[in-house]
Amino acid sequence: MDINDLRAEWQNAGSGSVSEETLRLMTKISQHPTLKKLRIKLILETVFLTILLFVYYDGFDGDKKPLYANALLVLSILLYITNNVLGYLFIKNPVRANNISLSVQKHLLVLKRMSIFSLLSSIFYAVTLLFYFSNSIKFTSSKYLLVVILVLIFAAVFYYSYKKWKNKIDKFSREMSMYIKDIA
Amino acid sequence: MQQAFLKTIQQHQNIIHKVSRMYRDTPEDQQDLFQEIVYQLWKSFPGFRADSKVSTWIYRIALNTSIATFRKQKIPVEYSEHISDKYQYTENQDVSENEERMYGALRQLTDSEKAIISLFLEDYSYQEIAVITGITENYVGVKMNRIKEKLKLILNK
Repeated sequence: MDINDLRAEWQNAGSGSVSEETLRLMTKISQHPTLKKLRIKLILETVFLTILLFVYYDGFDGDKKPLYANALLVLSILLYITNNVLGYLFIKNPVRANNISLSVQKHLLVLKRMSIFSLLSSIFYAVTLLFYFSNSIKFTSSKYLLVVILVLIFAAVFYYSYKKWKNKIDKFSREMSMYIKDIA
Repeated sequence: MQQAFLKTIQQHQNIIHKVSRMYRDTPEDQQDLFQEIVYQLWKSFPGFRADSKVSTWIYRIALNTSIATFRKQKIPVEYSEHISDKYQYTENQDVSENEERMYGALRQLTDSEKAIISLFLEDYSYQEIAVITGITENYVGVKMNRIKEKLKLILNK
């Protein structure tokens, strides 16, 4: 098989047939292979974190804590949600320019910025959580225990989520860097 | 607008099939990529200007999407999970041995080489390939020589 055979083969290939109705469904996010799951995850996390904010306020004397402690907690949760939204938008928009090289370069740049933002928002969230719980609270042994358990659970969840996200970003970043290096 | 889009894609869907098969190894991943490409084409359709060839636009979006989307981890995927009965992706199962051999060889190339060779095999000129990929025309020539050598080695193994 030489290059001319390959050309003939390529030009005759790709004979699959997808109906117009199926193609129409493919234009919807609700049928998208990854965005659909991400969107559900995003909505669930946002609802869960919002509920959590109210629970914190009542359960851990939010009204007796300084305003800045509450504001920091809300901000850290908003940053976490923003981070997830950015991840969603990143996956939703892989085409960023009119030629492939420029598009991949821009995409990689966004990914790197997102990776830094993700790291900073995770650290900010963890620190804020610790700060909030240790700030002007009248500790009883049961509250100590509850705080420790909650902090440990959240630290583990966020660490796992961050690690998983970072592995994905690193792998993707390597693939795109390879592409850019290959055409340089 | 959607009707015009669907007609256009249906007429040119062979490009998306070929690009999906070249960039992904398993039928599940190929199907996901096909779907992703159609979604990206739909998003960019309002900005598509009729002064460029439809096939060029489809190739640009399809290749870009293939390179810049997450590859799934190598774990088994439930194929029918998100595809209902009315949502069938049917690839021609009667694929010739030569076609299999071609995809097998093309999959061994790097992402950028795949983009260049697919356009070359579709009879795009070096100048057109340069515009779509964003590299210089001279460098397309250099890359093509390397790719041809590489493919010769792969196919003669």
